[in-house]
Amino acid sequence: MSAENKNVILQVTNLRKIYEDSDSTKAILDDVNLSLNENDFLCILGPSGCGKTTLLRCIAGFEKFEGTIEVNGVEVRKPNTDRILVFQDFNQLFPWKTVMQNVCYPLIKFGIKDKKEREEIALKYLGKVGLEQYKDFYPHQLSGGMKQRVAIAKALAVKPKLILMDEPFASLDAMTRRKLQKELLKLSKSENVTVIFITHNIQEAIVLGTRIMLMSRSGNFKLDMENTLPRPITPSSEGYAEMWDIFNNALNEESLS
Amino acid sequence: MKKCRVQIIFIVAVIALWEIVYRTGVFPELMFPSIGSIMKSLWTGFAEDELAGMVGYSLSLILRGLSIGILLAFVLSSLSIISKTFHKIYNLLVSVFDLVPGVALIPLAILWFGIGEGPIIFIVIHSIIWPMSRSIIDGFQSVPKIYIESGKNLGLSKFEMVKDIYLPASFSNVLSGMKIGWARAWRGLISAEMIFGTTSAGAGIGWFIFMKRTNVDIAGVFAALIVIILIGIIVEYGFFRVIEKNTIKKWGIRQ
Ligand SMILES: Nc1ncnc2c1ncn2[C@@H]1O[C@H](COP(=O)(O)OP(=O)(O)OP(=O)(O)O)[C@@H](O)[C@H]1O
Ligand SMILES: [Mg+2]
Repeated sequence: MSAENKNVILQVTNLRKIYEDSDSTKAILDDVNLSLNENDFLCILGPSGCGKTTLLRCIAGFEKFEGTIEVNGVEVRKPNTDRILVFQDFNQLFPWKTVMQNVCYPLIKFGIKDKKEREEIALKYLGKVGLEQYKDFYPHQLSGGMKQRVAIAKALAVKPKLILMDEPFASLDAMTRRKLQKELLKLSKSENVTVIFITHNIQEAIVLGTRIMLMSRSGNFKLDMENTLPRPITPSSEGYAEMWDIFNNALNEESLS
Repeated sequence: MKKCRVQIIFIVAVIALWEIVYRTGVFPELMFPSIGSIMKSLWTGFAEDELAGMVGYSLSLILRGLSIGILLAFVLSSLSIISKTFHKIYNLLVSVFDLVPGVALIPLAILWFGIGEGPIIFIVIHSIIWPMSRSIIDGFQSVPKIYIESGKNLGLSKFEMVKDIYLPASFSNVLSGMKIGWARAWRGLISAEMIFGTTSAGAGIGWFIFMKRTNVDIAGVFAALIVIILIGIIVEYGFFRVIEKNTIKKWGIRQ
């Protein structure tokens, strides 16, 4: 391993994906290459159906694919706690477990044998998303935004190398969405995590991402930009409008083609 | 209590109507005993005919049969999640055997297990294992994909997947399977007892009914029916409702 490669956490090489059970033999992902550094916050934009979810599922180990995906130099074969998926669906928490139990459960698999220790960790992360006082609630007693917060706490608690978020805020109202974006931004810095975050929302991508990519219908990346705008980024930040335009135009082109 | 008001009024009305019909004397006493004589039979049943012991014996038989049946249903249904081949075979077995009434198996059961508790427990197991398996398998198959993937994301083993994801996620199916199975087993048990009579270890409530019929004590038969219904109600409210309240109701899982 060379020194300059040291903090590459994800290396995707010549990734190709064709769904065997679909009628078309078209490759959903066609020769995708991606190299992601530790602590990057990568936002991926792209037209609906271009294969964003498929890419995340390949990285998470849920799909078969051609090419190689390496996380910390280890080839991805199947799912594991070093890569945690956070879904858009509010129902990703187990309804039969309390908030606390939902966050604790993965820690057992993560190898923390002592129940007290697990609860301490869970409480710490629930605190980070502001939900300690809801620890004994069942998921059906929470709002959508709270459920997504718990899902984020649950993902962070196992200290994954990569958090893979598939439009986690897409079903939230605009206010809650902004609030959760802010929280996630803060957490991603304080927790030193590496995130791949899929969104349809250009604002969200610019506010959150340290790097923004745009996927095209042909199944690979069309734009790849470092986001160097001074933080915190708001729509009135200098350079925001230009960046927004670039991605908006590219997306429009995609949906026309 | 308030919630059951309609039901209570209905039951009281039925009892009153029964007594009125009895007093008009349209039906012979033998066919249509008075509420009073039914109650008296109930009393003497417990006081003199050891009805309590018989109920206890029936319950012990069904408890043994149900424990084995439920355990088998769980193990076999779980195996069918783990192996596709096993699933195909087991699914076929469940569909076929679910159609066979327990009572129809009694001749075979006697042949295989002899006279005694063996064939009765066999009938009870047969009554619960197939409907229970059907419910568990259906439940397992309708577990939302997102729970399965959340589980897989944690690298759970197949055994852990079944225990920690499939089972709780399909718990409302498991419960309704248990209810159907329990009802069938309870009916099957009483039929079997009426046919076998006593075993060396004791006599059950089915035997009580059989004896009362032989002695043309129709009030006694009705008394036994009341006991059977009461046990059904106790199991429903004292067992199933309590479990429901502490699981699927608490979890907000709809049925
Ligand atoms: N399990 C599957 N079997 C067959 N085809 C699939 C499967 N999953 C997705 N596809 C196809 O792959 C393509 C990409 O789907 P994917 O879900 O990755 O898109 P996406 O970019 O996430 O879209 P969206 O933004 O709408 O979520 C679509 O054309 C879809 O029909
Ligand atoms: Mg998607």
